Amino acid sequence: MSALEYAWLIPTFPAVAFVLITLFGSRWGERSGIVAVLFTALSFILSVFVIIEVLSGKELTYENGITWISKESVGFAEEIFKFGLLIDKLAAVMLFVVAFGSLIIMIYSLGYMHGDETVHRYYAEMSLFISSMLLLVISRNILLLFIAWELVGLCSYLLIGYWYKYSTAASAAKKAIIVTRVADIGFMLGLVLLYNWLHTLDIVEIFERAPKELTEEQITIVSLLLFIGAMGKSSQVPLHVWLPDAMEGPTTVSALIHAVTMVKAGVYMVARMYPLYVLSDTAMLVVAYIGAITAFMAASMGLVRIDIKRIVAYSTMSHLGFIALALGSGSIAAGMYHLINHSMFKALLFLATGSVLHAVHARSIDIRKLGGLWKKMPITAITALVAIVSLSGLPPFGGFWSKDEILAAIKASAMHEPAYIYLYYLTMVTAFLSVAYLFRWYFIVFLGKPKSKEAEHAHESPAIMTVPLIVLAACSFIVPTVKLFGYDEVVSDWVGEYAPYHLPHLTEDEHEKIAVISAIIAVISFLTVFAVYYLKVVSSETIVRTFKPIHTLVNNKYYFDHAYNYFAERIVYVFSLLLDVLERLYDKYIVDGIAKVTLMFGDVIKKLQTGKIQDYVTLIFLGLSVLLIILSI
Amino acid sequence: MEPLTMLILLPLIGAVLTYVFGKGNEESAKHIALLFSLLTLLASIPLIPMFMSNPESLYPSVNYKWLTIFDKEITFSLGVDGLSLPMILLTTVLFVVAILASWNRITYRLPEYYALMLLMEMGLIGIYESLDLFFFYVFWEFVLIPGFFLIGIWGGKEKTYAAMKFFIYTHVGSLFMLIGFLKLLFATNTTNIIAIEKTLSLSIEEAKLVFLLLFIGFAFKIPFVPFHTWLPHAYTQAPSPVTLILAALVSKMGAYGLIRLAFSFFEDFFQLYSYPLALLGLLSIFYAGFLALAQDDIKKLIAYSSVSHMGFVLLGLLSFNLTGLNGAIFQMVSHGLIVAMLFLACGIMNQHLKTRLISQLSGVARSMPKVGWSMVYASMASIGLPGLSGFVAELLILFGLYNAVKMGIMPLWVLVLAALSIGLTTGYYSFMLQRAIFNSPNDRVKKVKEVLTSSEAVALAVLIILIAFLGLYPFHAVEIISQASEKLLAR
Repeated sequence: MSALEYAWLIPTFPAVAFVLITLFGSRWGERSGIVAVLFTALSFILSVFVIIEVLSGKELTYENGITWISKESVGFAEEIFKFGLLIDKLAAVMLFVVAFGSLIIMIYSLGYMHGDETVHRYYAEMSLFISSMLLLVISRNILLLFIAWELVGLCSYLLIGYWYKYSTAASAAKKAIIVTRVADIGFMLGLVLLYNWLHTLDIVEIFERAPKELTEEQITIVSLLLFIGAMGKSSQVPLHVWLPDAMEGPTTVSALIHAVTMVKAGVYMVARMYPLYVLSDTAMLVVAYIGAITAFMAASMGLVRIDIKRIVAYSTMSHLGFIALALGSGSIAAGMYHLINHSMFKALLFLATGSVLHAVHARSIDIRKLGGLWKKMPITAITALVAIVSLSGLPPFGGFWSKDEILAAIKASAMHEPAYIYLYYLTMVTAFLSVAYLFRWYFIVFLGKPKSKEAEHAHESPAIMTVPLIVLAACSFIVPTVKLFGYDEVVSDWVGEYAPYHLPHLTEDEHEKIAVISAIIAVISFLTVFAVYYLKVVSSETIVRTFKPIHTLVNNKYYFDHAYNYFAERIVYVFSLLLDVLERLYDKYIVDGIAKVTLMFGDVIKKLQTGKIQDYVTLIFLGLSVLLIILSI
Repeated sequence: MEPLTMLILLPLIGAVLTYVFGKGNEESAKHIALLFSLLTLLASIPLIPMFMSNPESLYPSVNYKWLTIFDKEITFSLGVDGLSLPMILLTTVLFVVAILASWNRITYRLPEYYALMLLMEMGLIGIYESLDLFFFYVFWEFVLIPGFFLIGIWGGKEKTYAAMKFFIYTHVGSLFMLIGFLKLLFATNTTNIIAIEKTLSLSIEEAKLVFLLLFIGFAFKIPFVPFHTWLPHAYTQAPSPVTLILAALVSKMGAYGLIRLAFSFFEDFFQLYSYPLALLGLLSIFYAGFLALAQDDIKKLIAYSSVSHMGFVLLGLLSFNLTGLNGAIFQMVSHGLIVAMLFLACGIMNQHLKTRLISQLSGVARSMPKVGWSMVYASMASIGLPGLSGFVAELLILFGLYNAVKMGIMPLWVLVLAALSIGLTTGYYSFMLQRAIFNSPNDRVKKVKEVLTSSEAVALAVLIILIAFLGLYPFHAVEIISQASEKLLAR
């Protein structure tokens, strides 16, 4: 018996939980949580078996799945709408990460969401969320991937707006669905082109046939259209505006969105379709540029935020930028490695943040009101430190190595495409900022003295929440070791099966040089933050005053939100209101006008009906004469 | 008895019985009407296996000469194919839903109301079954009469204006169609649709004229912008079960006629005029879409969104391939179900909250969770969320459109604009949901307790299941529809 044959059960379990909780959840109340955790646990256990089998060399390429629409019905020779599964090494690794992260977050939820009124709705939506993401990871048909993709989007819409009684949450949810769906138009157009150009939506077939049957230009167009969808999901500039606002949901939702589901879906899709991307240098360059710009902008915005969750959100955005940058620079290994790394540490960081918020009884809080939590919540503080150290890329922790890999990949790519070299320098700057904004966050929240009553009365969270933190922190030490198992080859070899592809390679010397430079940058950055926020050599206000114009620009989020709001409120909405006025006028004057004219005409004609025989005879005579004249001509 | 004739007779008998017995005991009218709508539904279901085993067996199923005047022949001919079967099933299902939705809504003159509803069902089934222009026209006009009274007697504040407007406006449209029919009769000496298809030969000038007459006639009913202004009045003033029928089925009469007659007789002109027609479709999609964004009245928003979605049907037809045509017909069915659910949920909200204005609503999901979440579900279906039926239709239409682009019969920007409209649709629905359904409840909403009667719950559940089923597994539905599309394209 092979666990791979039952892999379809992995997304099915949480889907069953979703159906059960939707139907009976209102009766079960908080007990729905246990159902959700159990089903997620089943998925996790199965995914463990699956990854073991896959790493031992088996693969599941299940073509004969469900036929959604038959080929006869659409007049094609090939079955296009056949939904099979594909579990190769890439999918198996991702599957494991998603299932594991989800399980931890669901268990943590039991504590975090305790006492919420409509908690069964929370568990139902979370189950659907996890199910859709698991399906996305293992789909073999890109249309099925897109269906799961959109369901992931729906769930994040519902969960961001979970506390919809707050108008900010309702508004953030709307923003998320509009931005991501506008981006998905790109994805859909990509599907439309694949459908018509290749007559297949099967991922493996696309890989096999695209190099032969499509021109490079066509491949560029398709991969960039798909990437637009990914930009929306993975919150790349300029489609990133929904992510910071998405913090309005419960912190566990943020953890799920940021660590394993929504935002990871975008970059995972790029990795999944990598054999297509590597065929187009233009597409790769665009992906790299967007990623690098996103990483930089997000890091700079994270440095000036004061909201505890928003800073973490910008950190996610920045790291997604890094992942896209890695993929765009030709290193799927670095990209996936950073993705996994980030999944673990970001889940940990969010859950630690949730623990802080739980302690101060807030949905989110200004970091300047906190402080001194180190002593009051030691487990939270230590686990958060583990997350920060790794994420920020301080040597010698995991984040440092993945950052190093990314820099090396950029440098290597720059050798044949000079445009990459700018990204190399930009990323160095971003690397400086990454260390800075996270430690600024940590110093203000956990060190110093409590600056509000809430912070003073804070105490450590219950075990149901701290145990997941400890487990995640422990795993964080294991993650870096995956590199030892030849991980690079595992995720990159399959790309080579379909496309001419090699991992970008640098000489040992150059590689070492990069490591040294980035280590120096990280340490300088750390020392700067230490000096400002701990030793308080210079007050942060002074720095802000010195760089006033830059600070204003960054603090206003580069005016992206302003521009979008202006467009939505002042242009689209006003235009629709004007159109509404036009519509009323059209209906009142033209449509009803025709009716009025008809009535008036009737009134006039009516007068001819005099009832006098002489008048009728006159009219008959006149009419006859006219008729005769016409006929004689 | 022959199944198709029975389908027409059942609601008719039901209408008579409802009226006669209802006069003695008002309450019994509901029960008889429900019984007969269920019987009609049951009678329509066997058509599926009959059709699947032999698609041509029901086309025509009844066929005899009815009247001959000089050399002109009128036949009584009924038939079902892959185009009419889904429409008939949609009709029989939605009338059960509409009668359940009327259960507690309609409080006066019950026998008349339910009898008129069943008469309307008869008219609609008649249209979808008729294979003869004469009877097609008779049923077509017949639907107007119950529609007129249902709006005029049980409607809202401006019901008289709305009913008159609905009647006269769409009747004017029918006249264009009638002239077209007469032209066809004189050209072929028959009114039998199958016979006309075989023997029709008109000079280009004449054909162009007939095509335009038919197209305008149907455009009034669907409606396409700029023939649409009857719709917001009729939809908002009619009681919500009637609105449900108007939006889900009466507007489909137009689309059905467009495909069954205009498209199958004059496919060439659809190709010849594909640019202006595509523009007309896009105009409907965007004009109505922007108007939906501006509305404060939820019912009006749904009404405009309905116009917007029907534009997609036209675009699907213009792609001239199996994928696009299937998408267009699928859209008719899917849109029927979705818009029915939207109006149903909106009607229940209105009944309890006494308002449909977004500006006066807030946090409905809080005090009326079942209705509020139904609204969310239907809105998501309407914006084309995968897993629900709207997505399948939109996807097939877009796939089909690009094929037309590749063949050079459609410019690329039509496809791009059609795809972009998804953003607009998402925009106005999520904007409405944010303000009316989410946020914290205001005083008006807080006071209301959710009392969802069992009939309303069943009606909603039926729609929820059907929308999800068609979205998750469209295999069989597309297979049925495809039979009609193939036939249309083979010509």
